[in-house]
Amino acid sequence: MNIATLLAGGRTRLGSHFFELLVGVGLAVLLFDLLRRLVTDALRVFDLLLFVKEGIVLGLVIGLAGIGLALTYSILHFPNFAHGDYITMGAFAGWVVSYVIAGLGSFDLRDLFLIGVRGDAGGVVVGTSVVQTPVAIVTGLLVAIAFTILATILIDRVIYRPMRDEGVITLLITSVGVALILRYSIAFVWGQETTTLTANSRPQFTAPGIGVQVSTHELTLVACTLVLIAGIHYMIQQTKLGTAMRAMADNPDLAAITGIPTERVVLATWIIAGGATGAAGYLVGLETGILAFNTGWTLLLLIFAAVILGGVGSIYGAIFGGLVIGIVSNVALVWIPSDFTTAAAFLVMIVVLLVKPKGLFEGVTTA
Amino acid sequence: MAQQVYRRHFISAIGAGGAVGLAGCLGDDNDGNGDENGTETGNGDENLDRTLRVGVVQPQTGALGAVGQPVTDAATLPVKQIEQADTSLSVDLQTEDTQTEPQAAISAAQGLVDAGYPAISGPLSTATTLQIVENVTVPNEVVQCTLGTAPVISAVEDNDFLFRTSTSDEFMSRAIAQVATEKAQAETVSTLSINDAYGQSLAEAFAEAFEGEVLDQVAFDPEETSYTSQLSEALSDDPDALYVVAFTENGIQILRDFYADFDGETQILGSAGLRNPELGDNVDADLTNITGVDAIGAGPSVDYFTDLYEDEYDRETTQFTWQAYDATAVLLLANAAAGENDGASVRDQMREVASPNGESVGAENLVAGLEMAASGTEITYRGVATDVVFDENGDIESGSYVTYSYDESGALQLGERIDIGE
Repeated sequence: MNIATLLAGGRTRLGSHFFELLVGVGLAVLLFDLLRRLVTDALRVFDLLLFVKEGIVLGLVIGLAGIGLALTYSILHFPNFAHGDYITMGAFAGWVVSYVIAGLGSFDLRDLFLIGVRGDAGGVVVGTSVVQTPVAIVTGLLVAIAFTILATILIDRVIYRPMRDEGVITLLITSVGVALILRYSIAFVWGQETTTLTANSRPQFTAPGIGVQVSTHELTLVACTLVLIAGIHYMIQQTKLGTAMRAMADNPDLAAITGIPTERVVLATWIIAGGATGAAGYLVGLETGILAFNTGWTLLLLIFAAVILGGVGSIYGAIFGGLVIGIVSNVALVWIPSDFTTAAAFLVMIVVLLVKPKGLFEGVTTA
Repeated sequence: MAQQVYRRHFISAIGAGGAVGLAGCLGDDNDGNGDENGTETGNGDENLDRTLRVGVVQPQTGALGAVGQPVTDAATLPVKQIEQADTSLSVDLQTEDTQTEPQAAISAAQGLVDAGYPAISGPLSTATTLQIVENVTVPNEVVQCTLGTAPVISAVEDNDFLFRTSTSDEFMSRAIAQVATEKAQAETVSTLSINDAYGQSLAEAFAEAFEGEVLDQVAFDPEETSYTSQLSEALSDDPDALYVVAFTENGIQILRDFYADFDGETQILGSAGLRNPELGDNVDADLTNITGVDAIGAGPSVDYFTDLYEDEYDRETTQFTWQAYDATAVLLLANAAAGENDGASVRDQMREVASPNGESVGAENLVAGLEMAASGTEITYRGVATDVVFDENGDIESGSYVTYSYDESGALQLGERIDIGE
């Protein structure tokens, strides 16, 4: 009996280590192969660096978009499937304002409102870019943040608050409903076609010695992401509100008993998450240069993957998870055809979760 | 199996009942007599006083919704011509939406077959066509005339019930290969194509047709936020030209990434999706290195069709409208010649109404042509898209294409016409 238990325990321990060992060996083989390809010129250094750069940009896009989701998940304890459409909503609100500011006088107001979906006001002719129309871009970003905050609060008051005490499944399905309503309201006004937002992302900067080009809009995205993360980090770690939020994330009932005004914390959470999400939507539009009614929905699966990979509820986890997903799905091109790279990114997510079931940032509940 | 047989009995019962109800005096047609050539077409008056039944399945929503709506309009135009003309022939038309989804396409086509339609015109995409052929039209012995362009459609086991009035991508690839060699003067080409049946079959057919060397063949997922990595992979062996097979929206993004992250010196060969007058408004670059090929309507009666379509719907003809008109027109002519709303009889007349030695029929005299076919006169349908001559696979034997390019200001320019035959 004892021996059997011991044996079983030993086998389990060996089993779990065996899996980690396998992952390690697999990684070593891939790394070795990568070096071999670089040395034998089967892979150009330029290509590898370009893959990494593209991966970082995509990773920041996903990670930035994931901050809001991680925040609301940790405080409200349900996965908000409407998150992707909050992103789209913010992007549309911000870009309409940017177009109106950039093109007022030269174009019909109605065409500008439709941001190039119909009419004459296409991205190239309106000429929107950080360098050419900085005022329009900054105002658009601020409007995107403000509008998304207001809209998320409104949706929370009308829909989520009355069912705050319902189960996760009820809230989840409701959020899917909210997602559909938002998405098709946008499609009703702007149609289902993809529109071009920016004229170009020049000037481009060439990294010395490497040859990889970095555009102004990519640099803008990186800078804004860093500022946002720093701001949210300070708020959560240093302010009284942040302490209350962390308390609620750990144990909502205990937080309520301790006298924390939970509804006000929820409100604050939606404000921060909504602002971050609106900014993400606007900046995703700026970096990719295109927008459609389903842009956010398309990103949502990757965002969920990043948030889960990083450890659900952690904003650093969301950023880090985004970077892992982004880099893996681009660098995987070295070995596999491009239609399978997203699958590769999800495979990495599953492997990570098998080794660390709570995600990479397990236990570090930051929000 | 048992269910299949049951369904067929059920349908033939419905079909017979319907025919009796409609015509009243159809008389002595006994089901399944082995008369292969449809020689019962001779007796005039009875055949001139019939209702021709045809179903149209096209995507009106979903991914191809925007392309599908004008195509549906074109596919129903022959019916409008008959309704507006002074003739004793009448038409019973029903239109169904495939939603660009194989499953929805099957139920759309099944609905038409259950209602007793002997012939189906459409749909647009290869994927939905293949599902309808396998599950609906061939098992129920209903003729189908599709617009799908993938070469795989030629090889389908269809018991000769499947035809198409669009030309196979093999022809398109030969046209683009010709442009690659002659206009772009490329000796090496890489391909970057959308990862569905359309993109993959076009890229493969191009690799077959191109005389030079094909270096890399990269497929892309249409939902990426950036295509820089895919472009870098496709350009890694430094080809003279890159063949981009994409729909307009992915195409715009691919071109934006191409001009932003690479030197822009590689020639771009474009599929139909890169032909768009608004491309210059969406891509801020010198687009003069793009050359492409798109299918056009160039059949004998294309001018008449163009006027008719623009008068009726108040918009210009777009891609696949020509082929859609041909599909419905040829199905109706074969039906008139067959003299009965029966799939196998209509099938047997499909090649007959397009055989070369008859009275010439086109969009301008379609109704007269239907009457001639019904009274047993030998006719030759001369199409809107191209000359409709079906080969043994039910494919069209020739295709007409036009080259396009962009000038310094980003405006779309159409170039010379390219005709590709067997």
